[in-house]
Amino acid sequence: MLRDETTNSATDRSLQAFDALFERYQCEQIETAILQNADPFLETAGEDLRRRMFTTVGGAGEELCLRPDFTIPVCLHHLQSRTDLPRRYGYLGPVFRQREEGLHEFLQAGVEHLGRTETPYLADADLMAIAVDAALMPDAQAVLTLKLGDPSLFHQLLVSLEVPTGLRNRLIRAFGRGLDETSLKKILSPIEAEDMPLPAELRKLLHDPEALEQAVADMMLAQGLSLHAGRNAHDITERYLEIYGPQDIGLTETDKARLMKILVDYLRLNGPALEMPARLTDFERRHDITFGANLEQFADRLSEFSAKADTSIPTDFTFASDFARPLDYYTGFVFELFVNGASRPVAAGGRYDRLMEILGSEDPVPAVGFSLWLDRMPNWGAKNG
Amino acid sequence: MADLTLAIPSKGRLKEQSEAVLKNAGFSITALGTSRSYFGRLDGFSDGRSADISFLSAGEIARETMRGAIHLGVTGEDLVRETLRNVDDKIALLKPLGFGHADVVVAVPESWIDVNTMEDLDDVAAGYRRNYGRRLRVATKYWMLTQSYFASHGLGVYRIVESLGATEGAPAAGTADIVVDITSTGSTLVANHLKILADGVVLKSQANLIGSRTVAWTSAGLELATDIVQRIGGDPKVLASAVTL
Repeated sequence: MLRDETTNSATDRSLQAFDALFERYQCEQIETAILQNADPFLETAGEDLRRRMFTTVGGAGEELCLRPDFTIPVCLHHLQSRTDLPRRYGYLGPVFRQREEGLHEFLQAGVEHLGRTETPYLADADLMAIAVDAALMPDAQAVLTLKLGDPSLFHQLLVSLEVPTGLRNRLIRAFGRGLDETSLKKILSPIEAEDMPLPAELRKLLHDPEALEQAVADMMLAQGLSLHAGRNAHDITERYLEIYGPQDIGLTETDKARLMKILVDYLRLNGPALEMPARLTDFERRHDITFGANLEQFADRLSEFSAKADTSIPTDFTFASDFARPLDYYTGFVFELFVNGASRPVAAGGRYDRLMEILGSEDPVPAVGFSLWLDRMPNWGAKNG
Repeated sequence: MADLTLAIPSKGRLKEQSEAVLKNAGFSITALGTSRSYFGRLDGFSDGRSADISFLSAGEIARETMRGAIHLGVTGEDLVRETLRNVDDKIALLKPLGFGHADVVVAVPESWIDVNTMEDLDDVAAGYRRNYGRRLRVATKYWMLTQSYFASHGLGVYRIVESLGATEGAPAAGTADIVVDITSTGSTLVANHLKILADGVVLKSQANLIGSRTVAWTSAGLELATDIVQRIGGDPKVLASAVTL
């Protein structure tokens, strides 16, 4: 385990506790470099992350950064090691983030579980149980709050409601950023005619998609744009017709009203997690929709977790229907753990099945993980300032 | 350090217009040493004193004012906002001067007929990796402005390609997909077949008299600065609230 200056400032007790935790759950402890290539972080999390990273430039002009989190370095480490799967990695060390106030450097520990292909809910439940166990290490009597979300239920709801693809993608992205009634209304409001500028010579081609596509391709060539290097005439035309085209977004006003009503109702589904399978089933019946296999998985994950965590299951274990993460590589359930009513979570995690492929894996690799902030753990936190 | 150092652009239209504003307000500028000197003197204050003048590039003026090396400066708001996030903690905009107008805008190829708003751009950016194997690339020299404007529209998945000249040519050159660039009339964008998004104006910029919140102010310096602000039609209260003696 890495023991540099920051790590040394953590108490020996916390280091030993994590050593023991990783051993108990058969996690392979790994070290990753503090100075990382910035590219994988920016490619996956986007430019928005740059504002929170410390970046510098290497001698060959490559952009480097101080490790802003562990998930991506752990995944890259695995890809480079070419070892077999499944595999569970454990880590502990400093990460660096630009913050308005407070320290820029703080300790994180966590577990990333890669490549467990059978029944994903088993890996999900295992991981949540490890996180609960870890959060209770400094003080077994601490009061834990566990908040659970599952964006895959929302996605399935949209599929079941037969929402057209373009609108569906908009709703899913808005959901990741935090969807509420106001933003929902804005997305579902009709596009005004004056918001649809189109060069006059193309206007007459609106009802002939092929001719429109050809005209767009001609335009691109005339403007010196490559027809292949990025967006092509087909994609542009298709999206134009989908978003701005004469058929609007393929929904009547009645359809939209129903969609609005059901989604608002869904966003109000909050409460004790263990009651949720029944409430979601009731929701299906009331609105004549189906969450399909995603609801079964949700219920299985809960009962598996209850069985594993029988003694340590937090009394305040809630589900929030609007809980999601804005990163597009998160694909399934997400959770956050709070200790003694704190406002910021001590740990957060979820399923990110899409990340390994983005980072260069040839095959999809199912993955779940969580990170834990040591400075937010009561009894331990104060000592690593 | 002099009681008051005022920095004005060292060349071009911005220099001429800055000097004109001061002359119209009854001040006179004397370059010290040769005509290409970087230092000068500002005379014509009500009490007969004078202030130091520094001739710097517009970008340096923003940085030096932020650093607290000069008291007042004349430079574009775009450069001020690009220098530092939360720049309002370090610099006060004292008076827009009515010249050097330029907008920082988000512009996409005209052939992207389906992209007319930031919302459209967000939509397209989200599908980039899946469809084309990479993130949407944005050519700009305005990193800071781009990041905060895009973030305010919930747009995070894109890559900035730094461009220090001829940004508007980046899409045709194949180095970027769209641009965030400065434009005063829009004609350069049109010539490069780029269109500004309906809600794509990041900043409507013009030259401003700016004041440093980080420099050491003396009461004598504040008196001189107040004289300048008042005589060019600014509000001395804005200056007073920005300055700690």
